[in-house]
Amino acid sequence: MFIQTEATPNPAQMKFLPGQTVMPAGAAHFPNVTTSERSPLARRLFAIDGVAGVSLDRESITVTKTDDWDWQALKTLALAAIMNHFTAGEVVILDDGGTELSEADLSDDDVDAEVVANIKDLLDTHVAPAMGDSDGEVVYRGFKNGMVILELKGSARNLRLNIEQMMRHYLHEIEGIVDFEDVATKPGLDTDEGRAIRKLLDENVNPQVASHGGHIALVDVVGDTVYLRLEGGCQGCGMADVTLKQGVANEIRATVPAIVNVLDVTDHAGGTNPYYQPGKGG
Amino acid sequence: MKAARQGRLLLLVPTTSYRIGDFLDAAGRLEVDVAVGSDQRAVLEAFSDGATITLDFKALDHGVGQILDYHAEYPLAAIIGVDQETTLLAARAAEALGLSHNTPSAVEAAGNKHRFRSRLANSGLPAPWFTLLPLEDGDTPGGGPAALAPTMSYPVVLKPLALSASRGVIRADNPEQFMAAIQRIKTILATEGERNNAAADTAGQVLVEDYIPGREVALEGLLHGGRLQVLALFDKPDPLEGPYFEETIYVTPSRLPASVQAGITATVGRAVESLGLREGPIHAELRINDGGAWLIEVAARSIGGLCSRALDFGDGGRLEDLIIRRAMGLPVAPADPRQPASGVMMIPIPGPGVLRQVRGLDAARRVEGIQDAVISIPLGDTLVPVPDGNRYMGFIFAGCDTPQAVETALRTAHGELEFVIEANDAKNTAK
Repeated sequence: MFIQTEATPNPAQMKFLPGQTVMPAGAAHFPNVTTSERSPLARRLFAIDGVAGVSLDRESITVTKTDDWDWQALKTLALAAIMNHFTAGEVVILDDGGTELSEADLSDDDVDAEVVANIKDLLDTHVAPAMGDSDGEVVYRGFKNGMVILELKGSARNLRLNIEQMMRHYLHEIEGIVDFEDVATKPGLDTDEGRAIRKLLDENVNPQVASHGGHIALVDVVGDTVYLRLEGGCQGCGMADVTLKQGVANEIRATVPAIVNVLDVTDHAGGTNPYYQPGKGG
Repeated sequence: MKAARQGRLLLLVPTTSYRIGDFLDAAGRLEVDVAVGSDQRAVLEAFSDGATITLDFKALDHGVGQILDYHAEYPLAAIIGVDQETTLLAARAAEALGLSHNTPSAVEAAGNKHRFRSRLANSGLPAPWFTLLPLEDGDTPGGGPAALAPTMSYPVVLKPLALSASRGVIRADNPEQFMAAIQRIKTILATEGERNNAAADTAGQVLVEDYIPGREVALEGLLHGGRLQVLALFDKPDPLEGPYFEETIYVTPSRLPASVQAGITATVGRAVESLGLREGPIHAELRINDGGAWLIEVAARSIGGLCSRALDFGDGGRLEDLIIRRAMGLPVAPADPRQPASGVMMIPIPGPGVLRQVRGLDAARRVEGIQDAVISIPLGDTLVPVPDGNRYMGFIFAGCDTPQAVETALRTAHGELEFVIEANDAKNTAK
């Protein structure tokens, strides 16, 4: 693996090009370690003294350094971290949806073609118009065990509950919807800890959160760390930190004492319908 | 780390606050047991084991009673009113519990524009002429706005008591502008909820004071038993001359001469003494001209919005760390900034409408010296500029070797941003 480096107009920043896709789509910016929870690569870079920020796009990783470090020392450490990350085959960002899924992951063997046609028709006639000219989009991905698998993009995440209720209303074969990003097989979810946390979220947390139009998705469980994504009314909500740190995290640790870290991988800036919004300053 | 004071820290935070995340992060860093009291029920309060509590922020006696009940089950070591809306409740509850805090009367004087001016009137500090008027003419002794407008010496600034920050603050240069400003303020207050949100004794009243020309600065400080520790002195390089007073750029350290800075510190020190403030954070705003340092406001809270992220005290932590340390009886180190200069731009709302798209955010973040740029209004939301609105489009943060470089970085980054705003069925792009 050969990683190129490139200077930027900002002397505190350097671009690293690993010669392979960094993010399949979009970009991500992590101004500090606290915000980097959804990116194992960014977290690895923040473990280096002197790294003040990390930005990712399709083909490059831009590292921002603190003033008290020079690139001569820092560049070597950053190169090693990036090299180790990619050669270990670790994911760059947890919710990039980049995992390859088979047909069997997405559809029953004996799926009813008429039901699928009806689902797609509902998406065309009821869901697409509701998106208007927003950045929201809903893509049909499959139908398995009574659950419709949908890829929810942009502001469509905020309509998850509405879409589910509408589909269940029109089609009795449908029990619910599943986010395409949550379909990928993640070994951590198939552990005692993963199952216990999912049960906690499904039975205790999400019924409460739904009253604010929100939903909390379990993204993964890796060792002593749980990764969560806040959706709908929780995404971008001014009280999301309270919900997570003063509610969900405490409950998860009480249920599964082995869990130490509960990390939020939500892109809160992408929230378009937060339940509470900040409104004062300066 | 163990706090010197045993018990929980209670943060009083309205659901409209920008600041809860930063305070919770600081509490986590300091390993302080923390609870959040808010005016709306937290969605998971049912099983938060006291980590959240719903409080009455408007009926203060009721709110204090709720905190006393909470304390009986979860003993408190300190209470911090994070935003302006909660400073008085924090002071009253702390007094009832015998916790270290400012007196309620001092906090009330700092938080009420008219009482603030009245309390400082005899302090010997430079002070503008001021008067309190009802918004409605009615049978007011001495006359209402219409009767007094022709008699005033202009320019003046109108400040409705019921609104905070720059909201509803309007300069008038003549009687016609004065009456137009009165009408504008009445319209703002008439919007749903505003009158209900205002305390009974402040709703419908407006402070009118002389316009003070000059450069504006903001001082961030921490009080230790009445001793003022200056944490940062910010210059506001954009002139704030009205008719509306929208905050934009804050840069620290100040580029004013050392003697002027010393005068600012001395003025704020005398003001907090006159007000009776003795503990915790203060945020002061002043105007500087040939007549000296003129106080605009001294609040018993820290800086608002996300602006505190412009302050990084290295090993001492962030601003929230210092505030929590002081409240919990932990040592507070000297506030040595990590970088020689830093600053923040509160991104102004360019115009009314619906925010459809933000372009150039990545380019803004790539500008030399920029540490972060965040948009805090969701796409699809309605934008309301000052003086009617009370939100910022977002915040840009910079850290550089000099204050000038910080200001340049902030302006350059702002120049990279484009906002697509839909107004009256037409899309506009604003820079």
